[in-house]
Parts: sequence; C-alpha cells; structure tokens
Amino acid sequence: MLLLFLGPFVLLTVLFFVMPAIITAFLALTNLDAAFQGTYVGLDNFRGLFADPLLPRVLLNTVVYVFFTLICFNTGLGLVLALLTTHIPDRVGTVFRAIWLLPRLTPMVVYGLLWLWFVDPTKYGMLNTARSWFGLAPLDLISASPWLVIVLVNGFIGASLGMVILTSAIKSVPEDYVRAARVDGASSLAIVRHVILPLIRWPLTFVLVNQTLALLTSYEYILLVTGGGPFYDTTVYALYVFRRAIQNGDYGYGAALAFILVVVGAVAALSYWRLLNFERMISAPKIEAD
Amino acid sequence: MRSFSRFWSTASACALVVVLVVGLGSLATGAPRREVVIRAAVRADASGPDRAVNLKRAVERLNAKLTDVTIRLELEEPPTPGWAEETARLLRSFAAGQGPDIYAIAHEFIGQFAKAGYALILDDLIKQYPETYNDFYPSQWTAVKHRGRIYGIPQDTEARMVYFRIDQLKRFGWTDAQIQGLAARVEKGDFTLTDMAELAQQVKDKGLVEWGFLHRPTRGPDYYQIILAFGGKLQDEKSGKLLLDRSATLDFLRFLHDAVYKYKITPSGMTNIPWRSILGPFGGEGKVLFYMGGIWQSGEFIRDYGAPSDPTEFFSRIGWTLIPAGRKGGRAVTLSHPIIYVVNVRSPEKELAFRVVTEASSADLNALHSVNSYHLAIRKAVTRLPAYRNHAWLNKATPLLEFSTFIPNHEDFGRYDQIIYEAIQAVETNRLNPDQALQFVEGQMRSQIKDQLIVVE
Repeated sequence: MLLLFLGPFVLLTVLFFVMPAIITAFLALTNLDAAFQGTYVGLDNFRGLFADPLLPRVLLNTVVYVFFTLICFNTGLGLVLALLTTHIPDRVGTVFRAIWLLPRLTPMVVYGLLWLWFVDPTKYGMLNTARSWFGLAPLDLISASPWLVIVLVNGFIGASLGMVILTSAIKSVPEDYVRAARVDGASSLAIVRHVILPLIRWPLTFVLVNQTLALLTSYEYILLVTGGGPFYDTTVYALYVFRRAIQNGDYGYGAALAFILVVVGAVAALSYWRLLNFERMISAPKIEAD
Repeated sequence: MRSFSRFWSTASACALVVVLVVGLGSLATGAPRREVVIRAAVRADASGPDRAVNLKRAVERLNAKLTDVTIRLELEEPPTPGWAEETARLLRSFAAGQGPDIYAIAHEFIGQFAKAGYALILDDLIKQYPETYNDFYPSQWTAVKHRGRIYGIPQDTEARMVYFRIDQLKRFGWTDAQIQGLAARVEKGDFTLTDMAELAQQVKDKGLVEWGFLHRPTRGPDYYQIILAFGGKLQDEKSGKLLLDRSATLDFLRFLHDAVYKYKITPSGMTNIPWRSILGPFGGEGKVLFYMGGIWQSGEFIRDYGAPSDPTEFFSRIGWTLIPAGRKGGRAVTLSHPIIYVVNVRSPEKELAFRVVTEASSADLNALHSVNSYHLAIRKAVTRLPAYRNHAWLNKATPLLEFSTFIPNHEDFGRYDQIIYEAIQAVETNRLNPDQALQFVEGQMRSQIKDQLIVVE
C-alpha cells in the first residue's frame, strides 16, 4: 500500500531530480563542448568558478532579483491582492483575481513578446507611444532600468500564485474571529495585523519558501525580455548557466555551475525545513474537527 | 526414374514460366525500386525559403531520373531564431544520434561539425560532378573549407553594405554628383567611418532623420566588417588559429561607443530594438540615414516596409556603399556569409544525399533562390539566366563581391562571436568603456578559447 501511494512520487523524484543531479555532477568533471565531446578534467571546472570574473556580478544580480521579486510581488503583492479581493464583494473579488491570473495563463513567449513591444525603446513601443501623447521623448527602459523591467515582468506572473494560495487561506479564517475583533473595536488594519496574518502564517511561509526556490532557478522571462543584458546587468545565476552551457557550448563548465545551484537549492530547502519548523505544519492536528 | 525426370521437367517448366512472368512484368512496370529516406534539416528562414524548397524540387527531379531508387525526403524546417542557435540544435541532435542526412548551416560553423566528425569530406565527390562544381566561383570554396578540406556546398552568397537614404541627403543639401560619387569615395578610402558618423550627426542635428546610423540588433557577421575596416584580422593564416587584433578591436569598440555618446547617431539600446523598428524606419519611412545591412534586406524593405518595387524609384531613394575604411586611404570592405548544405558523414546514403545537394545546386533552382531572396549567385551559369540577369538589385550588388571577405571557419568562432557581441552591447549601453570592453574581450577569449587564440597588438 505504501509503495502504491509513494511509488509514483519517489519515481518522479528519482527520475527528474536525483538522476539529473548525478548526471550534472559527472558532466561537471568533464570539458564537454557544444558537440558533446569531452574528456575527464577532474575539478578544473570548479577551480574555474573561483577565477570567473563575471561570477560575483551574477551572484549579486541573483540576490537582487530574488529579493525584490519575492518581497515586492510574489509574496507582497500576492498578499495585498488576496487581502483586497477578499474584503470586497465576492463576485467582484473573483473577477479581479481572474484578471490577475491572465499573465499566468498567457503562453510564456507571447507574454515575453508583449513586454518587448511594451518597452521597445523606439517610438513604436507601447510605452513610448503613450509618452508621445504628452510630448515626452522615447524612453529606453531596458537600458535605463533593466531591473525594474525584470522585476515587473516576473512579478506580475509570480503574484498570482501567492494571491490564489493566500486567498484560500484568508477565506478559511473563521468569520467569528474577525467579528469578535470588530466588536472589540479593532480597525481593518488591526484585524489584518493581529488576526488574519497570524492565522495564515503557514501558507504565507509556504509561498515565501516555494517562491524563493522557484526564483532561484528561473530565468526564462529574463531570457525572453533582456537576454540577461544589457551586458550582464540582468544575468542571474540560472541564466548564466544557460548562457555558458547552451549559448557558448561549454557544457562541462555549465554543469559545474548548475551543480552548485543544485547544492544551494537543496541546502536552502533543508534549512527552511529546519528553521521554519515545517515539520510542525505537516504534523497531525492535536484536535479533530468535523 | 521416369517419374523423377517428369517431376523435374514440370518443375523446370514452372520455373521458366515464373521467370518469364516476373521478367516480362518487370519490363512492363520497371524493376522494383528501393525506397530510400533522406532526412534533411533547413532552418525556417524568411530571408531564404527556397533553401528548403530546392531540396524538395531536387528530390522530385532525381526520382524522375533514377531507375532503381525512389527517394522520400523528410524535410524538417525548425524555427530557430538564428544560425548560431540552429548549430547548437543540430549538434545536440547529432549527439543524440538523430542527425539529419543533409543540413544547412552558416559557413563559419563548419569547423564545429568537422571537428566533431559530423560532416562528410566532399573533395572527391565534388570531382564526380564537374559540370556543376567547376562552374562555382572559386572564391566560394574558401567559405566551406576547414583545415584544407571541403565540407559543404554553398547555396548563396551576399554582399553586406552600408545603405544610405538618397532622399535625405538631397534634403540635407547634397548634390546629385556628391551622392553618386559617394560609393567611389568609399571605395578609394576617401570617405571613412568617421566621415560617415559626422555626416550622420549633421543630418540628424538638422532634424531630417531620427537616427544617423543603425546596425543589426542581434549577433551576426556584420560587425566584423568594422574590425576589418580598421585593418584588423580575425584568423592567423599560418596556424589557422583565431586572432584577437587588440588595436583594431579597440578602434571598432570606440567607433560604436562614439556613435552613441559622441555623435549621438545610434541609440544606446541598439541591441534591444526589434528588427521591424530598424528596417521599417530605414527602408520604409526614411527616418534613418545609414543602416549597415545586407543585399537580401532590399527584398524585405520592398516586401514588408513599403519601399518601391520599381528599381528606378527604389534607387532614387536608397543607395549603398561598401563599409567605409576606418582611416583615410584604408580598405573599404564587405563580407559574404554563405549558407551551406552539409552531408552527414554517418548517413547510410551519403552519396545519394550528395546527389540531392548537387541537384539542388542546379543553375535554375539556385537562380530561383537568388532571385526570390535577393541573394547573389554562387555559380556563373546562374548569372546568365534571364531572371537573374534582369534583377536590378543583384546586378548592382554583384561588383561588391570583388571586395568580399569571410569570417573564419574555426570550431571556436561561435564563442569568439558571442564574446564580441557582449562587448558591443557593453559599450553601446555604457556598461563598459571601450578600454574596459577590450579587457573583457581578451579575458573571456583567453579563458574560453585558450590555445586556439592568438592575441596581437
């Protein structure tokens, strides 16, 4: 019975996480090139990481990207949207949530192309067309503020997941607690701060952890909109792996970079588990409710 | 004994009948033909759709000629964004044992396929079809050789040039004689890249154009023309290794930096601009004075951006020159970038695949590709065909081939190209100044290309 329930998930984890991680570790010990030919080079690729002049910049970019997208959008805006749309009539709230889900439902490449059209630095871009109505000169947003563009592109997608999870969490907060707080004279802000937020702590933590790890390994929207540029300005770690392995054909070095990311991801996940006491969240409830 | 011999007589008679029936049947319907599947991959490229279609036409013709074989072509047209990406895709499919029998690549990537053992050496096969291959322009073979051996058959060539807007120069006050004499001045090295930038600045300052000089937004061969125009070299002739010419590369990076920040004729986000926002404003609206592009883009100006299809009218608005020299008296250049067919060395039907390529290189089929896509001819017979001879754009561009150069066919050129493109983006967006960008280029090339790189001052 145990095998029946756990088997498919164990198999998936072994096939799509453990095996690729092991293969990546092996590839990292070779100088595999674009033609998939290479020889064993020991730890040369890992030594190369310390001599790579672009890596410090890429690491800093990754921290900026994960922090701002996570705090401002994936968790912050997700929470704000969940709170706002649950404090208005239900039907209107549902409509608003559906609108915010649209970017998530749009195919990735179409979404990327729409943004490219929006920030096109010439007068033909949507933003610059709007600026021209007010007599303003065209703005090259990607060159001027690439991070703003990247955080917005990812944020509008990322906010929707937090919004959905936190909406359902807020809706499961017993109405009695909110009413009792109101009777005690609490303002809406105080209710959010002292009643709702403590009660949705676990889903909020889950969103935070899940999105941190997701952002750490994501690069696809950055690749579509800025390609990691201008220069290396918006190249995050996962995109750097892609650029070195796929674009430059340095699969060996790319695998070494990727293996570090696997280790960082695994350590971060275990640390979260430990520090945030996830075990308690999934433990059986002490009381049984009907 | 009698019954035994009767048995054999009957058996022999039956066998004879069978042989006769089969034999007569074969005479009537032809011998059973062996079906051979040839797999081909040609990148879906709007600027040359006949590269793929010509393979289909070639197979149809061969099937009509061959008596023992029927070729079934399985043609794949992947929508990869560029030739570098198509190379990466093909190399991955070869590594997985799925490489096609015939594939099309940009010539500079031949080194990677040759080194990996995915490309067939064609020197001997070429000799079997002298009527086709002796007619090719000798210079074209340079583009398909790697370490002295031929690995591909060119399908097209082209001239790259600096286009300019004649109408805007007239508005600026240039006389017809000045405009007509521009190409000759460029050729003599009398009109340099700096002169071009200064002129573009003046025309832009007068409010006649929005930008003075635009180039392609993506990776590609065009940029190397500027390095060559500053007297640089890309490959060491003796060793065949890639060459980083520090002074020419620095001049090149300074020119691009100055175009954005000194002359203000190029936007800083040049590498972020979509193609349509470059080709439209130049070819259609005439809001850009100079554009560094290629002959095939004349077709795009007409087809997609409203430039006149009548040659007289077209050339009253748009002209072109070689890429001006970097310094007075220097060499003006252009660069050809042939797309080539390659045969998979592991193909079970190598010779038949090569026959398909040879048939697709027939003068009439190749002329179709040239005329439809505004690419220049690879063989003399094409230029004699009326469709090609009467094509005003191709006629006007053909003399530029005299100044043609190629980028190196080296297995590490893809890396070299990516690093140069990153440096271009860095100087244009002012992330690095030209000296820092040169340092970046040298550092990256030394660490990625290693002993296949020679650095010269």
